[in-house]
Amino acid sequence: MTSIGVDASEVKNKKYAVVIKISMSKGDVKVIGSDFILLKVNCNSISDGLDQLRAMSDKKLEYGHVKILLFGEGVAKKDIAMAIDYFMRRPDIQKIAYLGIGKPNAYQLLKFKPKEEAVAGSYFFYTFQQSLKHSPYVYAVTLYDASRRIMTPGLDLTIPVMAFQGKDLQINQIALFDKKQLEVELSSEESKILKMLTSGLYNDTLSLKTSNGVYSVTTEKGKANYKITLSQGKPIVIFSIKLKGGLIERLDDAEVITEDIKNSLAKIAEQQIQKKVYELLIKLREENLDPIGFGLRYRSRHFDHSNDTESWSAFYPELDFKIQVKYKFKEN
Amino acid sequence: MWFEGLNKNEDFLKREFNNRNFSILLYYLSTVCKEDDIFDKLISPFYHTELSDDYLKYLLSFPNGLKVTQESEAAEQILDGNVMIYINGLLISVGMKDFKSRAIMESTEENVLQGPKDGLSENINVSINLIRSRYKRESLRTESHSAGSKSKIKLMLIYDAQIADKPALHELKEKLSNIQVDLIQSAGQLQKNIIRSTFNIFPLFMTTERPDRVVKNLSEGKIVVLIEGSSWALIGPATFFDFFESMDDPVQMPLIGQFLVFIRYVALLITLVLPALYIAIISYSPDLLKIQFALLVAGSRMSVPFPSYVEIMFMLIMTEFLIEASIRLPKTVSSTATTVGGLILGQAATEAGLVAEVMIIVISAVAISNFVIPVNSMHQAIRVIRYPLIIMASLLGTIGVVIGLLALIAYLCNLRSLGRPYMKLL
Amino acid sequence: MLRVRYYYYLLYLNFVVCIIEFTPKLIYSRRYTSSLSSSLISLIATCLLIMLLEKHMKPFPGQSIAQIMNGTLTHFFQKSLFFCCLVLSYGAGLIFLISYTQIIHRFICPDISFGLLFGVFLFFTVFVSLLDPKSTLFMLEIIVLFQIPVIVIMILLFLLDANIQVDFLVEASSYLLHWPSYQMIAAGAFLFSGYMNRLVFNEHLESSKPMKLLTIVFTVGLLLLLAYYFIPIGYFGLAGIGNDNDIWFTTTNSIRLPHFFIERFLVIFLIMQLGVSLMFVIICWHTSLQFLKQANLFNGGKLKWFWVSFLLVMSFVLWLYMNDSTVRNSLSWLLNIKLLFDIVLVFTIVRCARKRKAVV
Repeated sequence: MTSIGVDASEVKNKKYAVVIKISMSKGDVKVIGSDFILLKVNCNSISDGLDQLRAMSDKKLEYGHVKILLFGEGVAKKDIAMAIDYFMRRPDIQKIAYLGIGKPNAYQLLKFKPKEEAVAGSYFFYTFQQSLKHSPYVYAVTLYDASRRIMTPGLDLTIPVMAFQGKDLQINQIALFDKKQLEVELSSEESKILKMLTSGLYNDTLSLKTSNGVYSVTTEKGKANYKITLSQGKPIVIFSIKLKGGLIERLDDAEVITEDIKNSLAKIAEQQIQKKVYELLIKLREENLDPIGFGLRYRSRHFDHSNDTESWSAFYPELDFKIQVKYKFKEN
Repeated sequence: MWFEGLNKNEDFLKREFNNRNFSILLYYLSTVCKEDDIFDKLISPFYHTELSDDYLKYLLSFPNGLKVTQESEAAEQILDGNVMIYINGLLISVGMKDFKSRAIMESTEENVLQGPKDGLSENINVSINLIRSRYKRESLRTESHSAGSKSKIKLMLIYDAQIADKPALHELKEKLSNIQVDLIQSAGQLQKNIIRSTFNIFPLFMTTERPDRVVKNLSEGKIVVLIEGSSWALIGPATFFDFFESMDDPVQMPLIGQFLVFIRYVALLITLVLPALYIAIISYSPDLLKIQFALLVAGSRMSVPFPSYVEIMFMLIMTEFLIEASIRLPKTVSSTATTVGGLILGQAATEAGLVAEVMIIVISAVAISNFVIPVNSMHQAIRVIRYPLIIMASLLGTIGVVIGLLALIAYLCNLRSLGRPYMKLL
Repeated sequence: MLRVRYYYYLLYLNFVVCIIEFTPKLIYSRRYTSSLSSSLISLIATCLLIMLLEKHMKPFPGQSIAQIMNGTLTHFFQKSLFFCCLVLSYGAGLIFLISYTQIIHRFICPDISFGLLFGVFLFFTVFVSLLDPKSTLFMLEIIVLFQIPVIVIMILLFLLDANIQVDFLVEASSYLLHWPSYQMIAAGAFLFSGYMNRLVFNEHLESSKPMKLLTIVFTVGLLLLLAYYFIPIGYFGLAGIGNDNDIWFTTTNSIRLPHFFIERFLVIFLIMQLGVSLMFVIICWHTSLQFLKQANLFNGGKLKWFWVSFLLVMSFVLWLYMNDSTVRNSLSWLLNIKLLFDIVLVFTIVRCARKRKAVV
């Protein structure tokens, strides 16, 4: 068994629909594993569902290899915390399994069969595993990460959203949770910014318009740091973002790149990113969500913890942001 | 009439010689004495001597010439290759020994790449010669003992008196004197009689046929026992780790030597644990492996009708047969046998779906790595100790393997070789 | 006489086993108040006790505990002390064996029946604890040396894991400024209580240089303490570690082991931990048997087998009457008593040493 999906049940008075993906191995060594069976069952609890599924397969189900836990949008919008808690406490499930939100539901996504795949479900797994460096949009969230984000006040859960675009799979959005429920799905552009703020950015392209023409700039690396300080009794978050630009592509008769143009490009990039980051942070504040962990940071810098959670929840809606962006091109 | 007991032997000779003044009688076994020497050194001087006293003095001037008073003692001397000379009512024994043995041969069981090639000899004196030529210290002691109640086999205890472990030496001497067996013919047999425990599998003494290993151990303060008629020496006290040293290691650069030793321990681990681990993983915890690999193993086992322990037992026993057969067969046939057995049997068994492909890999890895252990007696022990581990694994899975290994470690730690701990790190 | 290094192994074994399976729940239960400060205080306190004990054991090289106490304490008092030691170490071993069997049963082989597993462990430990003290120490060394690399790898994986939120660690350490509590100090002291094994193995161990011993114990102890306190927090956050009984196994289940043919670190960790844990039980029971011997009740063939079968039957019966909660209750009960008892023993030794000096 390589993946488990949990959907909201379509049947009335059943809570979940649990789907499992079982990878089949055949006698022939060369074509091992990519064939799979999907089993689906409607049930009231996940454990009940898994028990029923056990009766539907002739094989002993092996939970040790579950790599992906997919939640349908329906479940995510209701309550995901219970399910995560259940998986967390099951000793045989690895806590490094990746989480994903399936759109429209987990079943549809698990049905997805890419052309080539070593083991059924490994497509998802590898996508997530490499997402840190390969995807500009999302960062993978593992089971234990999700669990700690649910438990810790001042650090909120995010899960990448998987959806179909035509026949292909797209993973370019991040869903934000308020501990239990899905609150907002960020657009892919916003996801990119959030990723930059949390886990950093690798190889992303910005298209910039200057007076000399339009250029497309590849950012090789981006890192964000922040500090929370109090100024006149009000907390303020100071972000410092450092980006490193690489290759520049000229578009639409743009002029040949010179040092001057590089400088102005950097300026424009800085402004653009600053604006986007500010907008995103304000949006998060408005929704009262904290995926970056400001609350945690605030608490960790104090020795007196008698009422810091309360004081933070009072602070957060009034939090101000100051963003410093440094964009630098690589010498070449 | 003397030597009634020996008289009935075809090769027992009694010859009388007379010259003008006196006469002598010679008693000896023609098969173990050098007849030419007897003629040159005893008979022809006899005819050149006038007085019997002079001849007597001449006889006693031999390095091993001595007077014998007891008849039983004289008989023993004759059996040991001496010539008894009866002169003037006295018995004089003179050594004319010619026990046959191979010339100094290459050591065949413990091969090395570099380093000396010669092996110990069946003749104790030659062996001691080899040892003394490498280890020239005043403190080297050779003590002769004997063992065996029917045939008194000569044993030679060799040690460096300055550094040898006194309590161990004492214990060894005591044990040697307590041996009550009819016949002892080899080092291994002697070891068995010293240890005297039916359930012991591990060799508590090192057996070697290499003089350089003997010398190395002597210089470490160990005690060596040479046995008349066997080209193997027994060395004690030994530790478990001694058995993983080849005489190649000191020849190599230090890092390479350490690497080689490390490789051997890896081999030990593989040959010991792999079959048991295979069973444990297949039958109890497939989640240990990466998923691709797990599926691969499961896939290749699809057609196998037996549980994994039957499968592995079958193949292991086949390899044991193969090894046994290739030892006993004449050299010309044995390579054919291994090819037929190893290649064809393995191939056919997987083709027929009786065993999984992965299992063949496991078995060959186990067989090969078993031979990496340089000392034969240890690798026999490891060969046997695998099976209890397999049983543990088929009963309790991974936990069984771990418990088995722990029990093995406990057992090894509790062993003592001549009072010294057998398994003690550093 | 064996080198002092075996003494370190004893300390290390005790620490590693206890922190992973005995005390995490207890220690983390007060993570918002006293646990961190108490652990540090208990490290210092045990260091002082070790110092005191080592200094006063010096006049008795190669002597057994009974020989040390002869002349100072009456036989009756000696025997009752031994009896208490015996019961304590036997109890610690048994509680531990039961709780560890539960863990193995849950994490590695839920298919194998609990009774069988417990029986196998029990037989193994009882028979190995019958070995002579030196063999036990040799075995201890091998097992500890095999386990240390795994721990080093774990710490490295932790340090290199990009998913660790530093804020969690900082937050946890910001609770340092709280008053310690006795319960927590007792728990902390229990981690370091391996030094009491000196009493049992003194016959075979060389006496140490107290200052060197102290520096090593303190630095290594501090590093290990911090590592073991913070690693689960790094993975689950301060709020996330509260309600898990087997927090360490969940933690290692969250560690990915890249570039290795076994993917789950948990398995390797559990197997190594199995070795160390059984070794701990062996040492505990070996200690009890040694105390029996000191009390002159373990000589001769028949008496020995009587005690062994008694041990086996007793453990089995107690196991039948123990469930999860009794195991945990008896554990905290044991912790509280053990610290006091250790202090009493140390001061008894101090008294013996004083008296010996006065006589000489």
